Amino acid sequence: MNEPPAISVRDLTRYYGSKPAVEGLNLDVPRGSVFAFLGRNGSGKTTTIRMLLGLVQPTRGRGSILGHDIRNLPTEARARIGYLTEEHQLYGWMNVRECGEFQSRFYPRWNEKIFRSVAGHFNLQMTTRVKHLSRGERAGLCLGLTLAPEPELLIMDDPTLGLDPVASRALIESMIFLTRRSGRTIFFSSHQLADVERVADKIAILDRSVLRVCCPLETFRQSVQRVRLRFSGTPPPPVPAIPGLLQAVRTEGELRLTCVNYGAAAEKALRALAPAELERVPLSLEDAFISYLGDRGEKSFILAETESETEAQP
Amino acid sequence: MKTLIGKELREHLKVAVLGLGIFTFVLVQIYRECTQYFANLASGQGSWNGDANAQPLLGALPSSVMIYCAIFGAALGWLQVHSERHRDLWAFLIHRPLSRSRIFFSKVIAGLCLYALGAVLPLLGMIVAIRMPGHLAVPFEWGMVLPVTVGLLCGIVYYFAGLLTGLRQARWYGSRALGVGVAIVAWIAANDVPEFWRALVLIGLGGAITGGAAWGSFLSGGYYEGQPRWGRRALVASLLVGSFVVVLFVTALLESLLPRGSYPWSRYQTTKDGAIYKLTQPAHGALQITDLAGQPLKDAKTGRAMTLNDFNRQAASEPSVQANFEEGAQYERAHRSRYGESSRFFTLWRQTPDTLWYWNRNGRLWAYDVASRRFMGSLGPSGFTPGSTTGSDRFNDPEGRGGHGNGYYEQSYPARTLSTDTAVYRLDLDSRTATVFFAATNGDRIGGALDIASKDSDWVSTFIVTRSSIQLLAPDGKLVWQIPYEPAYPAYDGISYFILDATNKFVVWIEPDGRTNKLSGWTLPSHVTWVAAGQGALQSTNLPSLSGYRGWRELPLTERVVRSVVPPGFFAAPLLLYGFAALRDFIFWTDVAASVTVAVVCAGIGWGLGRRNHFSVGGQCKWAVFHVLFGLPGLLAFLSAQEWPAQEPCAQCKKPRVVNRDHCESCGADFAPPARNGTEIFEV
Repeated sequence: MNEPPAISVRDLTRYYGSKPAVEGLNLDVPRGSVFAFLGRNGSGKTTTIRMLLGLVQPTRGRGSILGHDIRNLPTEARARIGYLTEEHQLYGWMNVRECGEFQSRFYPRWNEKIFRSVAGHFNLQMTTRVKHLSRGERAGLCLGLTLAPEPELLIMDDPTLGLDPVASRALIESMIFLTRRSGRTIFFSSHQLADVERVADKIAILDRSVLRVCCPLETFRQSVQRVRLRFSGTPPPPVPAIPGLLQAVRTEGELRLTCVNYGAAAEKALRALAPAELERVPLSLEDAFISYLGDRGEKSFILAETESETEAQP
Repeated sequence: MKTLIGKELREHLKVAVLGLGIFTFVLVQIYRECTQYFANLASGQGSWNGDANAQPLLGALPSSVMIYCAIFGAALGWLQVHSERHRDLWAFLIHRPLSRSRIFFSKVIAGLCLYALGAVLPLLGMIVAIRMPGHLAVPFEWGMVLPVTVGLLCGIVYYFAGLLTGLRQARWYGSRALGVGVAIVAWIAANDVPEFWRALVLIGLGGAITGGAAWGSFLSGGYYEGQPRWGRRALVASLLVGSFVVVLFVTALLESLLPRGSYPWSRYQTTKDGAIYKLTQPAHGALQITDLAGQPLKDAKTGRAMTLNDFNRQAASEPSVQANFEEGAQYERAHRSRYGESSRFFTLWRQTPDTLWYWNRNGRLWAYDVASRRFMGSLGPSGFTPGSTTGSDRFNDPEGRGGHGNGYYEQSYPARTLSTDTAVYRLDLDSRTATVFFAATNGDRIGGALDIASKDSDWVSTFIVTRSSIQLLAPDGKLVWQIPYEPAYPAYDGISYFILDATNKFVVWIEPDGRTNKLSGWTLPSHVTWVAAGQGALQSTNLPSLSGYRGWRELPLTERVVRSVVPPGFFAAPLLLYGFAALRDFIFWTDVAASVTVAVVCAGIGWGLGRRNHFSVGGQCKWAVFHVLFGLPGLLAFLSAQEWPAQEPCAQCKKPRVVNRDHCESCGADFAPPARNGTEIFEV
């Protein structure tokens, strides 16, 4: 029998004024998965996470987290959910030890070993006040406070935001440490695609408040493809309307197209342009992601434009 | 909870300590001023400056406590929320295995402890210092602590208002701080009611409204939607009161900026030659002074209409006595004054070079040594009791304290006599004795006695009102004149007499009790008698009552605006208190009509907004009733509370629909899922 998902939302919608921040979101996060929630700034990731935790009321729709209604999350459910906020805000007047002691009193399953281990990983002095910690150290402290209660579900909102590469790596390593333990679910948003690539099983992408992607990471990488068409002269305008076209960049004698679900129909339409050469170019997750969330439609590469202008001058 | 309480205490301790420091400094200054005041009295450099200035618990302290507690309470509440205003820190606080209510109450418990540290502790120290013998030469009793207690408790309402302001997700220039209006109203009303228990009820009500609104807002993260029903009601109530304060403030502002008419009034006045004139101030136009036949009074020198200043120079001095024949009259009178007024407890009766003599509400004169500031003993009708404040015999409340005259003769204060229900006593403070000056006979009772002074002598006569007669006695006890007390008490209880220029001639007015006159429809006339020494009444007449009722059209424009914005629901208060008689006696239908008209317009606007936003029929009706009851402030509260959902055209029927419902209000269609753009990648 299938386990119910750790997170499940249907038609989840939130408006701020007349602008939708999240629109008609349908999502299932399987238990035990590492789920990356991606999107550009302002796409609705944080709002979704805050709705999941009952910090913001949805305008419409419903959802459950660990089997509990998100509009009425009971205290025992909160004890099983760890939440790491994006700016790692804590009480500046507390020191590291006090933060741990403060948090430990609310969680019966508090694991002091984990807290001290994470704190040690980030070289945190127990007597240092939070306001004197660097951003990376504060992130580490927040992570320790989030992991020590041994949550079943860990929700992290862009945990590496603003961290230097070393701190970011340390944080991800700590997260991997947790994922080794069975049955834990991690749901996190991030802009660090290299980190996502390292740890995520599945991804979801929000584009301007609407969910466009929800699949395993590999499926996404395979679905977004770049095709390079070489022409002996100038590529013929206009680019044909092929299904799933994300971007078309025109340079001297070349047309680069990025498509979703590139298939036989699309290839046929492109071959009709009679290119001298047509080749598929592999994409990294970052390239695929950027292409997916970049501006849609045809545009000239900015350098190519500059180059062509330079060439046109006598 | 303990952990959170500890965290809150540590986090905001500095605020409480800062408050403690400021408040202690203020209290020390007040205490020093008081001790300096008595030091000056002892050295003969200062003069008596009022009872309230001698006893800080009834003078400088209540207002200082009120202001400090309001600022400190509101600031503390606001800071407790504001410090966690950052959404991530808020999430860190809220996302833990503890209900939001428990988190809220942890904050409140900690906040109240800090409030006690910053406000109650220094005040307790001050009270102990005041109470300690030898510090202030003035009576102390625990009832005098009530005004500052009210100030302290009002601070708690401000505290909740501060919490609410910090929590509300609304604009600063909008409705965010409207909750403070409840605290302001509770503050003003609690200071105005006569009894302490009423003040407690008002503060409790204010605390319940702001506290409930803050609690509800805490549960919903500051939004109206998502609150439990009681939270929404408390929030709307606080916004309603706040809106009412804003409306009154704006009206007052307009009143000060716009040209305004005069508030109409009229009264009679006797001049020093014994004539009676009627003074009428219409809403528009100049004051008119006419004789009883309606002829304008003219200045004999200029021939022009007499001005008020010139007329006042001709007006006769007017000492008066408020007759009271009830059992235990002294207590009745003492309790008539507000719980926070010094006159409720004591009044300085006389000051001799080395002693301050206070009439205390237990009916005895308390003596304090000016130099040592210690209590010496008390004087009653049967004599002086050293070291004791009590005795079986008692004097009634002295008449005329705080009174003043406008002519040659004036009410005597300090006085020479004090009365009981059956006798008036002459007091000799040097020998600390009381001797009978006048005794009522044949079961008659004394309803009031007043010593009269002149510029040349501090005692020229004593005016005594008994159940059967009104009489004037010379200092040697001889009767100057006597007239019967008719019309009689209790319908007529105000007796004043005018001292005329002509030697030994007077005019006595017997005025109806204001409330009785109002209930009778302003039909009770004033009874006027001209009297002469040794002859008694010369002639008498009745003057028609000058009604307190003002026609709507007579009122200044701003007054009409004020009456229009008074919510119709407020008119229900006298109805509840006085029954249907209030419809005739206290409620002016023009006011009600204006108020209801404005309320109906507001209800129409509210109904339109509700329809536009697809409120349910039940919701529409409830809001309509609310608007009809609370008028303009109600509409403002409605606009402040509601978070209007966005609207979109329905994909099926194309009509606008609100986005916070699952189905279209017009056609019942579901929301369509977001449109696809062909680039979706979903796991099959």
